[in-house]
Amino acid sequence: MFQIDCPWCGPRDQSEFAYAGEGGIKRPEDPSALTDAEWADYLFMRQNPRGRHHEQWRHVHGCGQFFDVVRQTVTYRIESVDLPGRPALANASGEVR
Amino acid sequence: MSKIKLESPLIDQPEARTGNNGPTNAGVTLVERSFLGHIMLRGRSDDAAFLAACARVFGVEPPTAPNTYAEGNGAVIGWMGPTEWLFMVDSEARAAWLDALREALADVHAGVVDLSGGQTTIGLEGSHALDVLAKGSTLDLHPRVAGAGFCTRSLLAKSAMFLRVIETGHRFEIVVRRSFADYLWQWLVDASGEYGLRILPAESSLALAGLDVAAPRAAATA
Ligand SMILES: [Zn+2]
Repeated sequence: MFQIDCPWCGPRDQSEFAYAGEGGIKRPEDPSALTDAEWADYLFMRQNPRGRHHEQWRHVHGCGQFFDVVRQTVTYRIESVDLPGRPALANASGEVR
Repeated sequence: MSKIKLESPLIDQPEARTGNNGPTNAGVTLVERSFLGHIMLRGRSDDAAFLAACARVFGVEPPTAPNTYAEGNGAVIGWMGPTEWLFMVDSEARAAWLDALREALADVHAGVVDLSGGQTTIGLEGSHALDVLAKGSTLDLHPRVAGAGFCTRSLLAKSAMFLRVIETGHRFEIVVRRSFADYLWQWLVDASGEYGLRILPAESSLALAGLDVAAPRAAATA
């Protein structure tokens, strides 16, 4: 178990949160222009890195809000927490250390 | 149409209705505050028109600092999220408040939903109230974090709850969904046993903290 620092509520136990998938995935501007392979990549393919991971979490038993987290999947250490879509997270996705 | 009987979700817990004649020096006191008005208010914290319309009804704006509640005109307005507040009033005042809110918010982007039948309120007080909460909660309820005016949604013994601090460190209030109320009451009775438990007869009046509405508290965790 670990704590997550909700951008609204401050540090709370993980049991109050739900994981909400990889962060930073943009919906394609024009989905109908994509090949099946590109669409499948958007829908299904995820980084699943060993190391630094850009994630979304939801404070489901607190304020109910979705937010962005950068977390080390090896050590569980959370590097940063922010409101969705902040530029601070732009380079975080999928980098393996 | 036949009339629907108003029943507390603690109907199967006779002591919740009548009290248990427990010792006056008990470490924990429980009381159900039944049939209060619970109104869910939705709107945006950054919408000046919404906040102003609310202020005209409440005499005070809904608090925008996370995890704080305000009191105005005999009602409680608790922050649940940046677009969500729980508004609690005495049961007789519920219908009038609903009408007043719907009228005041008719022309702004807002939602008003009556949740009164869906949840109930349990008062938890005493020198060991904090110890009881500590058995089932991961919240940091130390007075330096959770002082007067603090409120939050969280989990208690795996049940969702809305917790309010009425008096720092020893007087709390739990709002619980109807379907979890009987379970949570039994859990509270069990968890309180070792400290000596007094159960008061159910009340239908809102517990107010007497917060200074002119000086809303800063966010506890900021
Ligand atoms: Zn939160």
